[in-house]
Amino acid sequence: MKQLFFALIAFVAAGTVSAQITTITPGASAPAFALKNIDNKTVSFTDYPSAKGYIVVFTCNTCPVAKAYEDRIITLHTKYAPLGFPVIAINSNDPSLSTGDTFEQMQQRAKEKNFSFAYLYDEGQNTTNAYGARNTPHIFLVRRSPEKNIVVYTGAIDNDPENNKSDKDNFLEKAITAVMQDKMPEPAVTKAIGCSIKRKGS
Amino acid sequence: MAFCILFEKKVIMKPKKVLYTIILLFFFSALNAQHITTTTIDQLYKRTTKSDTTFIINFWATWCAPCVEELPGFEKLSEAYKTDKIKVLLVSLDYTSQIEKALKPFIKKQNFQNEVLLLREDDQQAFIDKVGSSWSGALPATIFIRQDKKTFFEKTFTYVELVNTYKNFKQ
Repeated sequence: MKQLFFALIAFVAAGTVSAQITTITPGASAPAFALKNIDNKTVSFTDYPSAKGYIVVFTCNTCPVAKAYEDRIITLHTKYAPLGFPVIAINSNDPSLSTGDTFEQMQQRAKEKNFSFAYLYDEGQNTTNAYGARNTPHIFLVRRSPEKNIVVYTGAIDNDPENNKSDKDNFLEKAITAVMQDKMPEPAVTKAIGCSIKRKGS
Repeated sequence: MAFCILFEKKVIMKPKKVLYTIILLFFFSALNAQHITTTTIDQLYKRTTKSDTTFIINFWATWCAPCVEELPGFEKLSEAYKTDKIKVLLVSLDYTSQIEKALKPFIKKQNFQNEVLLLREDDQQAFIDKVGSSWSGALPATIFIRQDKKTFFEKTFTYVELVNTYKNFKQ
């Protein structure tokens, strides 16, 4: 009986940990944040006065899938920041669980790869959890409006992690184009295989 | 006499050489033929129907550190409950370019007792939802299936959690 009780507790606990993380659905307002950038300055949405939207990327230093997308994220910023859609990358792993994701390692990686976008340290993972980011890299495209910032697309950059498909579907670029034309992206949600986010207490 | 010995030696050496050659040939062909069966999600599900076996299907990849950490737990589970109707399937989501480089050497090294399969699905959108509508695509992920009963987990299991989840599921 005692064993059964503990088994039940473990089962319920296992269920609730993943249940707590709910990914924001398109149409919801984008949670505001103020996080430390690799240059030690705090960054939030309001630091981009001419932005029409934001490409929020939950990523990390260590995940092979996230690393495979680094160059594509750099290109996205180069291409879309001048059009009003800058990349804001947020490291979503807890550095005590993923030692390659400390603030210092983030600075190092940004330097190596010459990141021209913000790469933010999410201390306590509050922003990662507020968006309900589940894997790396996990994209949240945000449309800016005078009233509020709205999430319009969540999911993958494209359907080609290995970057070698001839019929690649660029989900995110299509979504940005839709937003530029004042339309809702279709699809507004995509999924991709990625690394689980290393969460404290999970 | 000396000639005789030499002759004999020659005769004895020859079949040995042949034997070595055959062994070597077998060894290399076995190396080349290290075969990984591919599967689709539908094929996986098809195996679970018409059977009262509990299927535990773990989705993993060699590049996924928590996956590699939890794999021994699945080996231990199927060994510990081998008298039960239990079948563990380890389904790799490694990229095509990594099969020879990473997956095959890893499987060889680990010498898995559970069946290892390679997932062959082109459309991530479709197959992720087929596995679990709540699955984000984060690895590792595991499903427990017995006939119509199916429970999906997007998490890394410790061995104790795995045993408890299995015990709960089979009730």
